[in-house]
Amino acid sequence: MIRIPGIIATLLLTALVAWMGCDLFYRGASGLHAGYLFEAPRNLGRSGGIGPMLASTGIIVGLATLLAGLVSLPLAVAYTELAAPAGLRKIIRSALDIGVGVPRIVWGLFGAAFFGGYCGFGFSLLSGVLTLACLLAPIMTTGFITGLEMVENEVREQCAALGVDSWQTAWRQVVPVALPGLTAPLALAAGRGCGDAAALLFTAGVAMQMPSSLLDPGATLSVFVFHLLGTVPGGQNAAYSAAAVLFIITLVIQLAITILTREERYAQ
Amino acid sequence: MFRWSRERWFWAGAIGLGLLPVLAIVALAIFLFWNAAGAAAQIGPRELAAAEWLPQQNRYGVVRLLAGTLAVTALALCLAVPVALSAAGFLSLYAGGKVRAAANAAIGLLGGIPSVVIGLWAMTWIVPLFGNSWISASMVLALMIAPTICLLSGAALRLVPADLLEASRALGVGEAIVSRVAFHHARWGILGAVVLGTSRALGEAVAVSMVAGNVVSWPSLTRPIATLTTTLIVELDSAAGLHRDALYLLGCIVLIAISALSVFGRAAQRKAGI
Repeated sequence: MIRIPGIIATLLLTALVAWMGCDLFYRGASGLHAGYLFEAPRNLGRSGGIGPMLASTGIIVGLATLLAGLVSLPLAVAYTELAAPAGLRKIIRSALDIGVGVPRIVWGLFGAAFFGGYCGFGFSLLSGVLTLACLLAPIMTTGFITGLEMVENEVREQCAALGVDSWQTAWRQVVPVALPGLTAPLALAAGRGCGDAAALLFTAGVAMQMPSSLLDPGATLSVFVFHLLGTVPGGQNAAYSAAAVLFIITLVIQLAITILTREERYAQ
Repeated sequence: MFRWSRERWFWAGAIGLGLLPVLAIVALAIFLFWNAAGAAAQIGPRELAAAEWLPQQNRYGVVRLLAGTLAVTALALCLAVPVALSAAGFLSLYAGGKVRAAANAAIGLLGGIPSVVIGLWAMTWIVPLFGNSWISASMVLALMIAPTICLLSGAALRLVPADLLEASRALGVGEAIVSRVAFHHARWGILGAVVLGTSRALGEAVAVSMVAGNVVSWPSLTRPIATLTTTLIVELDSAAGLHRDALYLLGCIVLIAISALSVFGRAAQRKAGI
């Protein structure tokens, strides 16, 4: 009963991906040229390259992933390795579930008002990094918890039998054993960061100059595409070229995730 | 004594750092509620329950925006769920390992494509056919949530014990019943997948805003439509004062709906053992 429609549905979804990829390259090819990845944009982004946007994307996504990782790993380790009261665990669990679901645009609202306004960072890479880190942390923590929970309890029991401290058990035994499972959430987070436009639009801004400090504004590649389509008349062709690059980045990250894990649960 | 204190420092540090993401979520909730409550008090319940969203005239009725959001999400689910579930059923119950891995990777890629790229593709292919309309917005959303629903319910279906399916086949009940057995066994996981897909649909702003037309009106299949999130992304740039607070109110409504769906969806998934 489900076989024939299932095959059709699978083919449909697969064909859509292929269609999107081919279409982007077909339409974006005219804008791609040697040096496209490094040159500055010209004519409000309608021609030229995407150098500054690639730099902003790298800085914002790299720092935000790092920052989110620095708080997510401790939280995940404390959550899985410490015997906290059941009520507290439930609260943290719910907070994380909600955090994973919070839409990007809502983080954008918060980031613009809190980091941009209240902290006084304005439209800057720093505002973007902090907002994106807030967005990524629950996603990464959830992934890390899954990775740590997959470590067999024998490891912990053997350490306990040997009288090893709980922090050494956690840091020297459980985390290293779980390491392969901890890389997938990193890749996933980097992918989310590269694809984000809604949270960064109102925090890191739409500036197309090469940022010279963390307090300068800078559009990431996704924000650049959104900006070209929304506010730059005649920006569509340039948007295709930039979107083609975004597609390649997504493809590479998805490949990494596929190789790093066979678990579909990361795909949400 | 020294060892004891290292142990203690380690966990104090871990908990201290680990509290930050939780605090960020709490801060987000307090910030939105605070501003939303202020806006609600200033606008008044009668005006909020009105249909007109006209910031230029200080009228902030949210009913049409709510109707738009529900309409776009509901139609997206109608489009995405049948496709996603039949693909998940085929891939988990019949497909070989290699086919499943390849298809899952492709579907995962579709789910990972940035919203702006999906939006750009939809502007090229869907909008010329259906205009900036409810149906275009729902098709884009369906495209974005189908991978989520497909992969998550596929994971639930894979947890169905093989001997259960073999026992059904051995009884000679036919494949229709076998797949029903599988779907019944995985029902909580599938419910969780659909609920989480719904929450993703409710929160999506960028791609929808690129094809919906963003005109606040009662839903009509072929006419432009606005949702809570598209209004946020379109108006936030220029909003100030009460208008801005009213936008926080919209964000707060989205956050409440999504929080309820996320917690419920994850609870259903955990019940299924995912």
